[in-house]
Amino acid sequence: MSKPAVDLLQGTLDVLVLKTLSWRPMHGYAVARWLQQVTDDVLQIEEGSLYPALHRLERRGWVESEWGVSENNRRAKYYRVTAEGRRQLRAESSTWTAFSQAVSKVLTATTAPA
Amino acid sequence: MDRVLAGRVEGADRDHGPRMSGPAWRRYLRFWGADPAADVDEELRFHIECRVQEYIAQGMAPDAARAEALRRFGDVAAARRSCEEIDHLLEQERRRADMWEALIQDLRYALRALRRSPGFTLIAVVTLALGIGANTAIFSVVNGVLLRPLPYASPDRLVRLYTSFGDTKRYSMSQPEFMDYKGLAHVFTNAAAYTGASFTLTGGCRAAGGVCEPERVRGTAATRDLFPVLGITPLRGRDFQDDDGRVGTEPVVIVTYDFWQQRFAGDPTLLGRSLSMNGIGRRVIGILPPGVTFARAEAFIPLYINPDSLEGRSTNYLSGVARLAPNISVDQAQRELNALTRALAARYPNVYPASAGFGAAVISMQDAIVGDVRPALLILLGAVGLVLLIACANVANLLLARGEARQREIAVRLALGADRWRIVRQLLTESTVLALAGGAAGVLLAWIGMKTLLAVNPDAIPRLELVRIDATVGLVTLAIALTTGIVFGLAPALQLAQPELHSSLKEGTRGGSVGHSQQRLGRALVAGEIALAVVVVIGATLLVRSFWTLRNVDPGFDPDKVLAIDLSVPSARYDLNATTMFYRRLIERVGALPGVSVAAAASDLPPAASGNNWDVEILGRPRPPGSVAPSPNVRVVTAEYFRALSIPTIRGRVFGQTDAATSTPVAVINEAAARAIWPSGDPVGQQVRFSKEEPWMTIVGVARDVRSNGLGEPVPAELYLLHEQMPVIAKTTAQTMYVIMRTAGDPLLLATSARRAVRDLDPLLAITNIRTMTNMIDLSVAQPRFTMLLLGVFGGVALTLAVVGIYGIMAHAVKRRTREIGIRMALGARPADVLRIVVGQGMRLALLGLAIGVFGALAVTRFMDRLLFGVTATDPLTFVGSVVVLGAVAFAASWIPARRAVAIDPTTALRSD
Repeated sequence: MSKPAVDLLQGTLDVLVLKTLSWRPMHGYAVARWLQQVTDDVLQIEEGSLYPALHRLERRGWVESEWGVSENNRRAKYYRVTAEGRRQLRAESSTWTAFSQAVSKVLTATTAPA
Repeated sequence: MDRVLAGRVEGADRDHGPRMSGPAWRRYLRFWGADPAADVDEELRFHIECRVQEYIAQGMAPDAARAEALRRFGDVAAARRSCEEIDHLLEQERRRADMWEALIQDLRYALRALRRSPGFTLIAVVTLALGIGANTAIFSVVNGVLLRPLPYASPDRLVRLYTSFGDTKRYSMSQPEFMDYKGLAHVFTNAAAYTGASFTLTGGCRAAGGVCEPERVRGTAATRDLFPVLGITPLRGRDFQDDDGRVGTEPVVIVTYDFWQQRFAGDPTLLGRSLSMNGIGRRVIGILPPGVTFARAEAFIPLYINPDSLEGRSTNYLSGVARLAPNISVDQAQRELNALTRALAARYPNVYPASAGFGAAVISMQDAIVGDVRPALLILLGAVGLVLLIACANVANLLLARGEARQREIAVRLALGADRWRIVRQLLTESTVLALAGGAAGVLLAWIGMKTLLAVNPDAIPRLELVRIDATVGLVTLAIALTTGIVFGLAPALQLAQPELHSSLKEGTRGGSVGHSQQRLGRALVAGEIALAVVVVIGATLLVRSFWTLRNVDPGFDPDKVLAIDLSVPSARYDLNATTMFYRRLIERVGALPGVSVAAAASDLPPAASGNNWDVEILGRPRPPGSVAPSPNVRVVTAEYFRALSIPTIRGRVFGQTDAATSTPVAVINEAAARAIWPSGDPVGQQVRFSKEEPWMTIVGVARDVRSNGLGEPVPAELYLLHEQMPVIAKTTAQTMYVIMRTAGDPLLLATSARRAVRDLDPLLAITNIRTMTNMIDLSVAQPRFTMLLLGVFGGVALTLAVVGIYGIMAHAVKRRTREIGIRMALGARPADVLRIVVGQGMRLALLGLAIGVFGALAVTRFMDRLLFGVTATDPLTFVGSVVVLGAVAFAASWIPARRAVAIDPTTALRSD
């Protein structure tokens, strides 16, 4: 099944990653997999931009990283959201919600413009 | 959701976190600093591998799986680059944050440590304040006077022009000479001539409306090109034009910005207004930009030189300023001028006989203004550098002494694995904090000091009014403070952080004994400090003695209790007769004031020379061609002048009641003129005249020499003329006179009455100055006095610091040996022996320092030669005296504490430490 791959803006990717990590610490591959699954394959994350996004988030102090071992005994870098990251997530979520509601309103409007 | 959590997503773990990192050796690798590039690589590879595994699990072939995984990922290289870049920036930020944190920690630690020992901190800060403050003060002077560029366009291309005669290199020029120099078009792109001109401004007002006091305005009369040469355009109005100053044209004036603001409160209607200056109405045609002036003038009037009718070649009164042509250096200009003057001398042998040594001189403007004071300032700079070093030595010793108490603490920290450099850095932070505090206090001291100095000595050196403590000075002080902190802090810090564990940690010794290297450092500091102190004290003493000698030179007259009023009558309202009448009446009036014993007037007062040197012809002695005519300093005086200044008569008589305008013209000469012109024979009765048009004057007497060129200069040949008998050519000299009054009490008390007397005679006259003659003599030596004051102060500071420092160190060293002394006494040594040993060691050290200091002083004082008067740079008395004083200090510094130590009961001494 081919679903249209929706281009994501950088800021949106950040908030998606933060939300993903807010469940529990994960490595980058896990984040990509979860996003894919949760959105039913609609969001195909451009993986080439996922890792720079993770590093950016770390530089801004919203996530912190630690090397660990995955269950197939390979060394992997795990990311965990920080308190500040959670705050940022909350703020961005409400902004995004407001935005999407506004767009909805426009698209589902019943009255024609004057 | 459950599916997600159940394990479909890799990386899940029971406690939702990663397990501890792999094998131990890997942990070690990371301890030494992770390799960011390798990490990124590994991270991305992990992702690809997982994807590959996923595809393989879905049934793809391994190769296809890998290809698909890579394709799906996208541009791996770009992703890697991005991540590496971000990681790099992150690393940098983290490192910077760490450094800041360490610095703040060091600072807090340092402040705490300093607060714990307030006494030490106070002494150290005061010492540093003195040392750094002195440097700030002198640097601010150097900055304002020497370093700040003149307010003209390309000031390094500006030069001053002079005519020279023999040894007098900087003499004024005549109009033809100026035109000749200016004609060297390939050397000077432009040149202007000027001369001083003072004005009485009447009707000029600060307050609009109301009666205004007439005021004296300092001015300059300049040729048309002055401001173009300087590169200045007026802020408002216009510059001089070719015709300005010509007879018959409207008199005009250009004023400075300060003149406009201070005297007219920036009144916009000033431009175009007519001001009454010396009784002549002059229209203000221009106002200069702020901060710009020339020759300290407030107003400029045009000086017109008519090329078709130049004044005499021997009438020298002009000063010159020129702009060098591009690519011409001062030396080249000088050479060209030399060629020109040789040609002129050949063309006019009567005016420039070979014996006159005629030439021209060109000096860069900067040198002309501040050249004289540069050596003095540089010496002061050197002196304060030494003072700072002494201060550093003191504080270094204080740090060492204090450090001994912390020896244990540091040793323990080192033993526990603290990084030596971290400890050194901490100690250096302490030193730097001390230095910065000292620097701040020093700036305050310098500011107060400079304000005081400027109030006391405003005219001491040129451009002194530009001196202030500004951003440049502040930055330099900061740099000095930081450097100082490292200089005095580094050695003690390195010493203290030595891991000499055994002695410090042993239980037996309380407080720790001092290592050998520390002792050596302490001894070196003592010797060094003594040496520096010797140099500064000798230098300061030489200057003080030299100034004292200068000031006490017999001026040739008695300046005590004489008041001098400087005023001028405008030629527009007073002709020659009226001038003579005015001064006669004024002298009568002030002579009648209570307390005045004698009143007189003179065109110039010693120790200032008259600046008027006129050739004289001697009756019966025609001048052989090729020789120079005698050219004495000419001074116009009233009859009572010699009595007013108590100048004795050596031969014949001085002017008296018998000499009047109508009687035989008479003159008086001084001893120097008598020696020069009539070395064998009696000058009384001889006759001289200035030119064929003037009458012969009879010399009636010889007066004692007076130091009219300054206290330190040789006495010039002088000719005195009687005011009442003024020949016409000296008319202008007769207008400006100093009226002097000898009083019984304080001369300044008469100032008000004197002013009233002048005002009663003519309310439109302005008095330029009222001063006592003692004051005038002081002013004449203002520059040496300035230098002496400063160097004396610094010498005193250096001496105090050195005395305190030397005493402190030596006393401390002796105190440290209390135990040893106790042992010696307990073992039967006599107090005298112990004293001999201890004091002997101290004195040996002191002698080393004194010797080094004397050699240093010998090397350094020769640079002071130019500043010394009556004292040689190697004056034995000064050297011996300084050595003796400092030696005595060193002796006392060892002896007093030693005596005290010896007097302690041995058992107590043994228990000390």
